[in-house]
Amino acid sequence: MVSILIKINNLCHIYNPDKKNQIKALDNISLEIKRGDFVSIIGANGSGKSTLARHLNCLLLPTSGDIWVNGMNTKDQDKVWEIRQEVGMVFQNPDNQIIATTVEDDIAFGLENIGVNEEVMKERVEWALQVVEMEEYKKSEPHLLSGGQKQRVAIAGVIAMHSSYLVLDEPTAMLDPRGRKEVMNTIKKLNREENITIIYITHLMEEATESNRVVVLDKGKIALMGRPEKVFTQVETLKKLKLDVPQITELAIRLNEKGLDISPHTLKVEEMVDYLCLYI
Amino acid sequence: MFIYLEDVNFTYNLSMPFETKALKDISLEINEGEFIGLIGHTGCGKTTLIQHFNGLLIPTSGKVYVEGLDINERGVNLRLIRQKVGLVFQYPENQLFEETIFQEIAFGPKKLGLSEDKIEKRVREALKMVDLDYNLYAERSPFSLSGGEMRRVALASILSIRPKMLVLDEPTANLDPQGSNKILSEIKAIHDNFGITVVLVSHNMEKVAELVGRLLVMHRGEIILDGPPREIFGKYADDLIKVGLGFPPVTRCMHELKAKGKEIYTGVLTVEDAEKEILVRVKRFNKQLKT
Repeated sequence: MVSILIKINNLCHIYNPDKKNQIKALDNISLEIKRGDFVSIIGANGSGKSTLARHLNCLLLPTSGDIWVNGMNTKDQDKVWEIRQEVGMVFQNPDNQIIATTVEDDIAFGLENIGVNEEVMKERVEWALQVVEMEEYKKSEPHLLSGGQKQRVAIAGVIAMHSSYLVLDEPTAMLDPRGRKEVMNTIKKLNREENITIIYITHLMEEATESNRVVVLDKGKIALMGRPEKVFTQVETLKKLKLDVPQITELAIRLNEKGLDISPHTLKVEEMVDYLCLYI
Repeated sequence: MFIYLEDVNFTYNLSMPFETKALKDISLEINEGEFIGLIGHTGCGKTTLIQHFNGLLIPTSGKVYVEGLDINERGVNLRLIRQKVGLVFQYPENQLFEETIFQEIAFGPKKLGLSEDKIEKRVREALKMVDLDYNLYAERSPFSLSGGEMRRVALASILSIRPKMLVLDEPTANLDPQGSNKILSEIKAIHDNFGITVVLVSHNMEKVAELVGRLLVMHRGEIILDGPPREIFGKYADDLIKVGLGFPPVTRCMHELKAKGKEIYTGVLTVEDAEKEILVRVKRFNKQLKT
């Protein structure tokens, strides 16, 4: 039986092995990401987030340990292209990822490479544009789009390949609040409606609260893992790991300490408002 | 008045097919010692505006004065203006180029023609301002540093020319929470301790709101709001949403409570303020219940 998940087993990665500047970027990571999951990965700069992400589609190979994507080992040379089709990657700067002169050409680029016939290609491009809500920009030139729109085009290019996993490495770092919201909404929709598994790297705790599971990395190790409301209540540990606590959670914890019957696991503004309506 | 802009307009690609009006009739005064936050949607003209502060861009029409000097005037010493107004671009670590951190930071003072002794003094002073130990860092390569440290070195290389005003374009982009808190607290210390005027461009509403004394909100080439952050976040919520800007989550929380008919002060920016405000309201509510 082929298991439909990403399985990471005792993954270690060492940059520049056996040299003076040897760095152990990942240290014995084991993790399972099931189909349909929405996992966010947080951690200070240099904690190994991007190194981990790059292992998921064979951009990097483990120094030791294994990764299986739907049962395929990433070390298996013959499976590289199949794995890369399964696991799509979106980077921080959409300008590095967009190459064609119109939006639809850009989305079709990956499909052309794998020799999809024209009819199917058109269908998939239409579908991908619809999912990221960019249909009306089909003929636009990518460089005239806003940051959020560009990032959505980059996402469309990946999902057109029918990838079941989408890895996003700080996709909103360069965007303004509106662009961030656009991209976040697109990702949530992909996860809920298209059942695409999301692996989301971010520095923004507010974004991480949207996921089902948070993995906190520290010096290449998993320091914390669990549902966001569990992870974000561990204020002391998070601060020790150089991370922030979402504002709303911090407020809930403080109010709880002052004797209000508010759950310290509150993450979202709406929950907070509902609670407070009982007291004010 | 340190900087004064009078009816400034700026158009990119003037009389070309791609002509874009980036700034429209901007009039603005910035006083010495102010700490200003500049926010706005991407493409609203923030970066174009700050490039006028030190003459990197010259207005298509209108006037810009820096300490009374008209940057548009013939023969005006732009070098002198750029010494007064230090601009820290986005991703300033990309402009690092020297072999050691000392040389990197000494570059500006050297160009000013200062003596060796004075240069060293400036480098020490600038490193101290960004909280990097001279003995540990001076001889290292700037490329061996972490992202946050590189950014602080880039900042130090501008501080070493002793500008009177510091303009920073998104200094926290791509840094982790600790790195961004660190650089922001250094910027605040630079403002508080050395009286340097600071303009901070940022998308990070939470942090900006806490730090600055005055907030400018830009939209489509115009300054649409100008005032203390509490007032702007408290009173002009609708305008901010209209131009695509967000609020800090606690501020959003207050606005939603108000929308539900609750009596609450909406100009709350930090967790501490929100806690105080909520506790006051809860107490009042309990009293009402008793009577």
